[in-house]
Amino acid sequence: MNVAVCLLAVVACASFFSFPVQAEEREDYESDARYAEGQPPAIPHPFRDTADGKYCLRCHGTGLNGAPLSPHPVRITCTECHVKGEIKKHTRENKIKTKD
Amino acid sequence: MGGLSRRDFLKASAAAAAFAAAGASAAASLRPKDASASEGDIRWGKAPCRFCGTGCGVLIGVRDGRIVATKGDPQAPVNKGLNCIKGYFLSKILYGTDRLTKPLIRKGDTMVEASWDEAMTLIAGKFKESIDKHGPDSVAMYGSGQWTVFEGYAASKLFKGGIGTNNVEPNARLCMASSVTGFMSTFGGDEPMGCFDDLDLGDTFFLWGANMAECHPVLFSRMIDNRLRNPQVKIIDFATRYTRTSQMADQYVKFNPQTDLALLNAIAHVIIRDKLYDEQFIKDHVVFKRGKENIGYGLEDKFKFADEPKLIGFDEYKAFLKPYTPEYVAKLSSVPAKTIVELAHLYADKSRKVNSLWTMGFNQHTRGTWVNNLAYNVHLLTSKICKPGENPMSLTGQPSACGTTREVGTFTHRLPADMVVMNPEHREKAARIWGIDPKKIPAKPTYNATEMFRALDRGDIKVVWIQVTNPFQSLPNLSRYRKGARKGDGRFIVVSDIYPTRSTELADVILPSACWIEKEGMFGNAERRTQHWFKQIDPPGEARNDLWQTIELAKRLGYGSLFPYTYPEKEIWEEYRKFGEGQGKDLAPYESYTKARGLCWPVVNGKETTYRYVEGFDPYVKAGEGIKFYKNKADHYKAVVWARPYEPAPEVPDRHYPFWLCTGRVLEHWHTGTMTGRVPEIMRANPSAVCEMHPVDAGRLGIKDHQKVKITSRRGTIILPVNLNGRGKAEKGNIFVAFFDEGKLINELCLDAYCPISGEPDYKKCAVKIEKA
Ligand code: SF4
Repeated sequence: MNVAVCLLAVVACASFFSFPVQAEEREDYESDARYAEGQPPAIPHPFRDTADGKYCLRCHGTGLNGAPLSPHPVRITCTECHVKGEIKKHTRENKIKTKD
Repeated sequence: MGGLSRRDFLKASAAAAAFAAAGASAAASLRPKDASASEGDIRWGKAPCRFCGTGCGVLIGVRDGRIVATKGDPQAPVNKGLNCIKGYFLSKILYGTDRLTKPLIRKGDTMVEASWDEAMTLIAGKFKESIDKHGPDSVAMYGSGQWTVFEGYAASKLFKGGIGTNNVEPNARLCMASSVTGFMSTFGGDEPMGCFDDLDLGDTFFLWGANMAECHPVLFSRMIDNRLRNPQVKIIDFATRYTRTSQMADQYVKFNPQTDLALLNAIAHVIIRDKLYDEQFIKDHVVFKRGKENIGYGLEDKFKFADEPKLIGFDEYKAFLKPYTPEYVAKLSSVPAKTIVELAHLYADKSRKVNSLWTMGFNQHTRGTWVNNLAYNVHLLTSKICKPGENPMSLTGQPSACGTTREVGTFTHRLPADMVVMNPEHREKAARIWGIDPKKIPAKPTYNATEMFRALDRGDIKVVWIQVTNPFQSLPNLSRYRKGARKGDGRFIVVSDIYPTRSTELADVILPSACWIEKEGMFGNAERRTQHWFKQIDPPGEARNDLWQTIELAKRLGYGSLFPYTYPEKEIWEEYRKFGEGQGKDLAPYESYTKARGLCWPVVNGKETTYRYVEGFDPYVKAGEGIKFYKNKADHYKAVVWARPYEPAPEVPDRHYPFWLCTGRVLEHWHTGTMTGRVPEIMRANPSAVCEMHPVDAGRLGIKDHQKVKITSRRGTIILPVNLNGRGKAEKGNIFVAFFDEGKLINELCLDAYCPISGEPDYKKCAVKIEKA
């Protein structure tokens, strides 16, 4: 993972709830969006969905096998935010017969 | 913590602190080049998340009329930048390829495209015909905790104030009604005294029937973050299923279904026995009551119940609790007596800031009101209430179950701001604000949600309009109501939605709706926070706002004068606000919400209220009053501790149907999956329902993991693969099935028994048998 992305994610993630929110309301959504975290990366490999994060952090906590380091290793319910990658279409579609 | 050293972690935290202190501009300069380039022409706006009652703030990036990105809003006090998986995929929920874009009218088995004018003419004609022939109570509106405030308000005003029927109900009857009756009977006013800050400030959290890790993930993260900072924090999970929440709690307390009633009474028993209660607080702020018992289960059509509360003394309450010894309740619940005693002491520990949190395990309960009352009892006896970091908190499921259905009052018996149709003064006030004759609003409530669909099945209701919900997947004892809907004989069903669902397939007219930021809206979350968003993109094709749809019906029925608005959202808000003014339900002017990341009501003189009923926080409590339950005038501004007994569930496992069936949600999907089911990533993560079962039970029946089983209740049968070691784990004698999968209608098996006081069905308990398929 790009260092900048990683650091940016640290700002967004590790600081949750640790710092008071600014009291003053602002309307500059664009600058808010700039330091907000985007979509967390998907998981491009098989994994075990556990409640302690151990399986994921074995590599993402250490960089083992070149795995990108998690910027928030204290968040251990990984699948709360990260989904499986490699998307195959499997959605609900075309349920209503329509005559034109 | 895996291979990560504490030093690494501290380094990361320090970096985070440094960046947070440096603020947005410092962070911005670190943004990768490609990201800034791709975001160059994106316009950003705010909205609350479309999904759960947490109400996370989201920033939405729009380019060329399409959402291209969403991010957790770092300025939002609810989530401070974090979302859960559903929130992170908000950008995709509107773009399924089968979005409804044109009105459709049934011609035999086919749905034929029509113009809005044709569709609305047909609908208005059916409404008129039914009202003329069978009276106003033959037509109904079935709405939603996902309605915007404006949509709910317009529906209530049209039906109660225009057509003259109380046939308005929301799906929130299926999820929050017991919470409402719990609040009303204990405090005389709906909704919590505390707020989400309690998750950061408390140190002891009792969870009851709430799988927060999957169903309120961001709130759960707040609590877990609190535990990371404060080693004192203890999370105790009372549950009937070993969930992701149980796995992360400090203590998991497994109990037999329905015995939560007995457990809470046993905890109160120990608090009294060991003199752990706050005598002064009880004297100053509490009265005791006992109501009717053996109150039935609402299984018969047209079931009616009215409680008859009687004041009792503290001594009578103590006598009532006598039988609930830890030993007796241990037998009933399977929680060891020693654990009950320990946890009662933990509840009452003066050095601890204690919170209780609950959701559907309490609310979807044939004694839902009672079990809500019993949770408040424990907090009132120990005075662990109305203090920052120390409160009972009922978590809501839907994004505007509070803001719309509860506060606007879109239940058959309710009017805005905690008023009810039964009270002549309340009808008078509503009529005054609505500019109508008070006689127009009927004094008698009609049907709760389940009874509404029973009435449709019987033919007492002919025309029903369903908005922003999917009852023909979500009702209990579903087969009856699905069949009832298509019995003909003048029945006519209108469904407004954004995608085809199991409800649109039974409709006579399908109306394509605008969703979320395709319209202007307001939601109210579980901590009384009202949040606003502007329309940021156009809906696809001819899809239109549900608010417009309701007002269009009003015009065609001759009630257009009730909606004389040029900017409907803003004018409705300013009109609606009059109901709560001076009632402890004060809301701010419209403009205040367009900028703020939500405001918790009551908002008085521009200031929101984080903690209610308490001096220094709540402007309704004067200096020197300390705590005042000012909504409960009838009991001299005191709260009620209720003597509510344990009573068994209506259907319990037996020789023929030996397992408990519990249903519920999963992390990835929202309710019936209408939106999340269109997101490929989410469908990949959680494609279909499974039957969670205990390996020992499976072994006994010779069932292997992933093998298919046939599950049968007295009402229906379903075939599902078993999952013996999934994210949630069933206890022995129990199975769990999620209800999001439209291909597997588990609710056909559920019993349509409900709490006689709240009218909320119990989706958590019925008896089933399991065979190899
Ligand atoms: S926790 Fe609820 S409100 Fe927050 S992102 Fe998830 S679904 Fe949306």
